[in-house]
Amino acid sequence: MLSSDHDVAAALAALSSPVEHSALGWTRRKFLTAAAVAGGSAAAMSLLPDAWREAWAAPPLGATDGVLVIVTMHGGNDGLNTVVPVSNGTYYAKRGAISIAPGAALPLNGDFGLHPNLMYLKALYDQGRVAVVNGVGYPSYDRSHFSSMDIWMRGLADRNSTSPTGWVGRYLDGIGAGTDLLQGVSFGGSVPMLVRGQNRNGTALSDYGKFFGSDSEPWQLREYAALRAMGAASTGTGAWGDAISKAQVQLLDVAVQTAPFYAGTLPKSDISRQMLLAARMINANLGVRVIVLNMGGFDNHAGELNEHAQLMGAFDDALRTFWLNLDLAFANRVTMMTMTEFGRELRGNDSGGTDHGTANNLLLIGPRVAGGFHGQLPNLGALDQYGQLTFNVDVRSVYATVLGQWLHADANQVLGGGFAALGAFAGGPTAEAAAPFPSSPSGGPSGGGNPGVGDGGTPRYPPSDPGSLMSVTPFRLVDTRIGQGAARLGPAASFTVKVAGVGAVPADGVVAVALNVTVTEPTSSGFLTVSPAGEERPLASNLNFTAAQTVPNMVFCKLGTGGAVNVYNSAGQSHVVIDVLGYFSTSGGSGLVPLVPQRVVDTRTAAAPLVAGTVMDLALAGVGDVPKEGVDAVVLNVTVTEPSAAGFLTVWPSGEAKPLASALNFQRAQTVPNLVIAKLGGGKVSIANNVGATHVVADVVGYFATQGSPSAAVAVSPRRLLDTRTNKAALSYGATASLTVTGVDVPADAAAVVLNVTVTEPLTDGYVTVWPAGQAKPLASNLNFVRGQTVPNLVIAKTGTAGQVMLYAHSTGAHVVVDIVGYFEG
Amino acid sequence: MAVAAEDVAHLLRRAGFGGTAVQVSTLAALADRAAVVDAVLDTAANPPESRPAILDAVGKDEDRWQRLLAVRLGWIDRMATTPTPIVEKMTLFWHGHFTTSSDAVYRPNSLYQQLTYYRANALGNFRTLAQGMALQPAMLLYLNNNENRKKSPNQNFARELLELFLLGVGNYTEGDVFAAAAAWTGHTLDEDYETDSATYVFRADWHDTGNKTFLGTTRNWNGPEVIDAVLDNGTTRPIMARYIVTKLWSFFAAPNPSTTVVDALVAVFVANNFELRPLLRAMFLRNEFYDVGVKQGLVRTPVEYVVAVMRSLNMPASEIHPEWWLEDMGQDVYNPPNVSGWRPNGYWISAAASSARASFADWLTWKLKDAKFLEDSKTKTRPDAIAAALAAFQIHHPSARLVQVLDAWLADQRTKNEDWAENKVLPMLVLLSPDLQLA
Repeated sequence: MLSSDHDVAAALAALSSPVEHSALGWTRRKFLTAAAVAGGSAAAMSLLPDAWREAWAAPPLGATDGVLVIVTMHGGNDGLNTVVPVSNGTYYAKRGAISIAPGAALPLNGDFGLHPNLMYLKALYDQGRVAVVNGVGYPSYDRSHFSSMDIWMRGLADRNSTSPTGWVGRYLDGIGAGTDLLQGVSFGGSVPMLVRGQNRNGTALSDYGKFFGSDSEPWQLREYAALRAMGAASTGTGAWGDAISKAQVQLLDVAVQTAPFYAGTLPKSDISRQMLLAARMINANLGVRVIVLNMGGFDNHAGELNEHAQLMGAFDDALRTFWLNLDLAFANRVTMMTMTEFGRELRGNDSGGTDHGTANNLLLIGPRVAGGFHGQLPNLGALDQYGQLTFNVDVRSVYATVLGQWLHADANQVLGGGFAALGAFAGGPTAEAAAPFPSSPSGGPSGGGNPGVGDGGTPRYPPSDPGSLMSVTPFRLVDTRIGQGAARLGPAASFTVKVAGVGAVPADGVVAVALNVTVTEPTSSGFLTVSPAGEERPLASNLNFTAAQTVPNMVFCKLGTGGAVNVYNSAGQSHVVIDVLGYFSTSGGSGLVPLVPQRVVDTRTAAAPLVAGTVMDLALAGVGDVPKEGVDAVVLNVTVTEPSAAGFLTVWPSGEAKPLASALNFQRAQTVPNLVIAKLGGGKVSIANNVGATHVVADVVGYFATQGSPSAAVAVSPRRLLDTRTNKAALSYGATASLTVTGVDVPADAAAVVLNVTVTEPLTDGYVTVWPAGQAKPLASNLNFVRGQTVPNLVIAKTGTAGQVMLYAHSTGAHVVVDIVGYFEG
Repeated sequence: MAVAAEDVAHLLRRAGFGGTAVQVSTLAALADRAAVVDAVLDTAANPPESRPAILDAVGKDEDRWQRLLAVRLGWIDRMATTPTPIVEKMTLFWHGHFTTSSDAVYRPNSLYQQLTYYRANALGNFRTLAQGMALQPAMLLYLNNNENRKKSPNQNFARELLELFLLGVGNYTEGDVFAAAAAWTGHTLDEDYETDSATYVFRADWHDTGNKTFLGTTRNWNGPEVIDAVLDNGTTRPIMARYIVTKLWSFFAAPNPSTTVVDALVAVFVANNFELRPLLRAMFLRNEFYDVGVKQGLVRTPVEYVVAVMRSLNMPASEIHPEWWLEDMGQDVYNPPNVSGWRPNGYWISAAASSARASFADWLTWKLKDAKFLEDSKTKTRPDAIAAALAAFQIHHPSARLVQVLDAWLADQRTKNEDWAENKVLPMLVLLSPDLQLA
């Protein structure tokens, strides 16, 4: 219920000077176990200069100190639709339409699968970094949001206690004295009871922008000093007036310490923003021990499938944000835990939702948890008289586990009684650097599908005849999702699809084709290889993917027997979508004029992202180095970033009806590049986005002209030019590599080359640029990526001096794989 | 003077959003406290409803945000200008009690209709208010009773009705919730999301006409009878009365009222058949209402804080832009965080909330400086300059400590050859004083 009294008491207890020790008081020495005290060396990495760090008391994290990040899901998260009991017939019978189908869930084992939007969580699970605790609850359940959340937050052995403290607050009581404001923090406007202790209190931090009070003009410093003076002594306005003034002093303290966390553009999603700030705070090594994040909206009494799916997607995005931004030096000392006041009823209601329930699951996530399942799914066939599930793991046992095994605290004291611990941790915190986290949105960087280490030199088949480009309005050749052109590919399987004579492509005289190939809904990590029909498949890949990822890439391929290409899938079940962008013909057509890349659109700097339903017309003829006349098509490197939803871009000649084709598919919040050959209509191309809103960046890297002396294209058997994984020599930050691209079946006078470049396992966000040797590096990028991501892109690069091109990696630890797939004649 | 000016100023802050020096001295000259309270409760001058025109504009769905904004700012402007602030204060109370959030019900028309109903009954009868509340389309949508049908009851409204609206947790059984949910089946609405219109309807074919056991009585209960039963049942009536009285006292006076106060006010509430005006009168007449613990016992919520500043400066919402600030401070009208509404005091105090208030004050004081606010400050003596700044924000009885801090700052400031900063920082410090931030 609305118990105003306990908020009042809690705030007073916490914000005024330390109150007298109660029965729950203790000293630090008494509190900590010997093992934890033994640690203590500061970790190396910090966002802040050391001089700043001396300004406050919170010590840096010791080698065996654990950090706990709690994600509070307010409203009662539906655990049954989060970790779905896919083998349980009762679940499906009782839930009816408000259930997650076994085929839709992301499989964990035979009995459980994750909500389909938890792709990143699935990837973490696959790394053994997720512990699911089933059947969590407490005796004599209360189905009020507020009462039940109080019980969860309080975490006392006495179920009926009205103590205004939370178990995290009481833990903070024990780890230090004084005003270590940043040892326990909560993002949001208020300090939840969870982090209120007897003597100490968590600090509420903003999740929207840096605090007031970190400026430094002399008049501002005097202003801050006056505000400090207000809070320095009793204000004469009573306890609440004192509390207000003290909070303002805290604000001034915290503002300076936390200002660096808010630098740059923060994610729009509340929970992703909180996760990023939390990761930065841990990386800064200010001694933070517990961070509470807050997510609302889980009270899905109606329209649950849609609302809950959005929440799961937001949570999953946020997980990715956190783990990919967390410094690996600290990751082995970080565990994340979810909590929510109760689960939902097993029965679905008639509003497409579920009502308040009882026992639920929770998640422990991190490199040191014992991945897998703990506790038991409650017996769904044995509900109590009110139709509720019965718990089998007391939530206070979970707290005892976290307190004892992770935070090295005396759980009995914090909880006011003994509770059996679970085996939910594989080990305690350690200062050893953690192995990298999965890339976006799911899948380990090393699991990104090894394209097979080629033999480097020997072509598998002869080059195509030279051909000139005939660009077409893109059209769809294959969509296995609807059985068009071919069926879904199984492991180590392939299909052959005829291109010559299909759609706008003539039956004769076609030597090679430009295709946009997208893999979607793959069930495991793998890669696709596109090669001429009837020829030996080269040891190369056109695109690499991990389970559930959607990856597009342009493919330039010689046509084989019967004017067809062969598409091979290395592992798992994969859907494939192929659109035709153009063909290369021995009669007529236009040739390539490669350009130094020029940016032609960047919606991030313009007014607004590209919103579904609107069409962006991009004038290209006469722009930059692209001539006004005689241009048939342009080559664009198109990148989407910050898309609000999963979708695709279509690029087509202006003035024509929008075709059913995609230039670039993406998932929510992904950054995806793709090379596009786009036919012009009236000197322009049109770009549309099918759902949500996304930023679009495009560089023009060449054009196809009929006049002058443009060069014809030749598709060759892919050969590997570079694979940094083979000698384990990832590129260091800012490293430049020179690649000899001519030779073997590529003549020394080739004007430009077509390369397939894949980046994998980058340790930081970054980009790769490819340019002709002997020239200055242009201000452009061929592919952008985030830490951990595996990204392929086709690159057309002018050949520089000595038949070489240069490759620059603006990232640390990026592995780069380069295959040559064709060239343009000199 | 017949009544202590400090008591009058306190009452004007609590029953409204503060008062001018003239209002304080005028009321303090009245015969006795009862006369002052009656003047404050005189709502004859309550302005008629002014429905934002945009609600009736034929528009598309994209306008919905603009409509909601118009409804929000319209109410804040009304709070900042009304001659009968007690009406708005009570409307704010009911809005936080029988709450509905625009995040969940994105229907400006229904939200406005709901608030208008609360305002019309703000000082009326609690039974009328509760019965009408249950049938407001915004409430039917918010707690899903529009989808509560016999075949598959949705308990959301029934549960919150007992837990948050009438009784408080622990004063009913799970069985009562089941019965109440069944009783409320079929109370739904006809709606058209496109035109943002919704009307309450009773669908007999959705209604559960079977027997239900509610508060120990088994019969064919219908929804509104459940509310009447809680108010009329000998066991629940005093529980309900205590629950509402305690919450009202916590809202106007301070949390944790003594048993003596609650007992006396419950007697008034029940004796007057749940009429609210006599209850408020009795509250404001209690000696305890003027205790120092009560005077210092409440923190202004962000809305109260911003409205108090708007009233002091005579600035409308179009100039002060509450929509830029309130959300970050933690409170926005029509958008409480959850079904329990807002909590008092400690809920508003944190470094984060302080930062939002300070950012607002910083922005405002630049704007005021541009408008030459307190520009002659530097020509005045320190005590006069400080008195002028305090008076500008209707701080009639500043704490000694605040005056001391301001004076020390001003003495230092005036040695620094940065005259321009005086009328920027002085109002800033007043805006961030505990004196202004307390209710």
